[in-house]
Amino acid sequence: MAVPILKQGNYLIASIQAALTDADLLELQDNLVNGVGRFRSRGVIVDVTALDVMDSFATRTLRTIAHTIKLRGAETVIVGIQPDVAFAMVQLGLTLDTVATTLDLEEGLALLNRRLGNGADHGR
Amino acid sequence: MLQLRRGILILPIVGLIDSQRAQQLTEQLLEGIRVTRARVVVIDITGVPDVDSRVANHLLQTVDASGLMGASVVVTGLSPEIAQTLVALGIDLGRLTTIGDLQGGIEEADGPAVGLQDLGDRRWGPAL
Amino acid sequence: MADEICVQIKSERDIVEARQEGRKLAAEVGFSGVDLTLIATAISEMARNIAVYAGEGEIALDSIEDGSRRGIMVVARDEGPGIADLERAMQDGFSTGMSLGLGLPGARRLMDELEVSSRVGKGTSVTMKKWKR
Repeated sequence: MAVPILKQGNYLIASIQAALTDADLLELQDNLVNGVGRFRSRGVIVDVTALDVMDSFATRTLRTIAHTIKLRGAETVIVGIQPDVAFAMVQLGLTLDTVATTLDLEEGLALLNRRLGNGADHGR
Repeated sequence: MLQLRRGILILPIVGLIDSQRAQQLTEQLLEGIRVTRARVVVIDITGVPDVDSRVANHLLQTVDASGLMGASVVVTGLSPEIAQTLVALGIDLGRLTTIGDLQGGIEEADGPAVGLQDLGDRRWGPAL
Repeated sequence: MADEICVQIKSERDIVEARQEGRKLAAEVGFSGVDLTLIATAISEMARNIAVYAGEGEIALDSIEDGSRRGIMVVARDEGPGIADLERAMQDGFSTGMSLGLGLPGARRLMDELEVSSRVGKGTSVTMKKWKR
């Protein structure tokens, strides 16, 4: 499994370590969707802090992940898009549309906690 | 760039901006969001006399890029003339959150306004 | 002048190598962190075009000089189907909708210069240059 996925309470946290091939991204999609079903997770965080480039395929795949997971009743937050990656994305005209994005993992967890009405400690 | 309080970044822009300066400002702003963990950015263009289509698009790109980093943008100091220019350029002003003046922008960013409630939570959050 | 670096694109797996080689060369030229990402992203998109539309091709990377300026040149070439409507492919609507098509206007925004030559049935060559600021 190219991208390690942690279960933290109600949430699944996927931490991308480095450059991912298309196949790695598709595997991540499968693993997260299956994981949400298996663990009845209510929130998913995909941490892209270490992702070198967010190109059209990666952007499309993250959106698909979020939409598919939403159909399974869970919220997705993409966290850790770096300044230069965000800049490159908008230059290319790439968008994550309605998918929530936050600065980092801490903010992402806080957002999920607020949206899902969890107590302050839940998911930590 | 000025950090008002934890979570709010203010970027006053003065003078004419060309494409290269606009790009530099965007890069600095995005890095500023990362370093200060800003959740709201107030871009004040009171001191900008005019914008052309390229600069207007840079502004929209800055809004989008800030959003990808979890920060929302409020544009203040938008003169009626510039507003008209933007409309004539086909820019959808609905994509921008605008407040008349800088003071209003700061109050909007600082207070528990609709959509900015998250900022209120920050006062209860852990110290950074 | 250093030698040209050529990355063969035979499948999507080679996209990562192409952009990492590009990033490495650009770092040697002395580009800033932001520019490294812009260049790597542009290479990623062009390499992706090759893999998706042509099946195979190559990305050639060179450091370039123009008087006192230093920069990087990326040539993405293939012998694929070619681009039927080049003018349309280069149309820049400044939209931030999903990047459908070939991403050429976007890549041009990421780099400083971009030229395409393409013949239907013969292939495509995209030449991009970026100069150190």
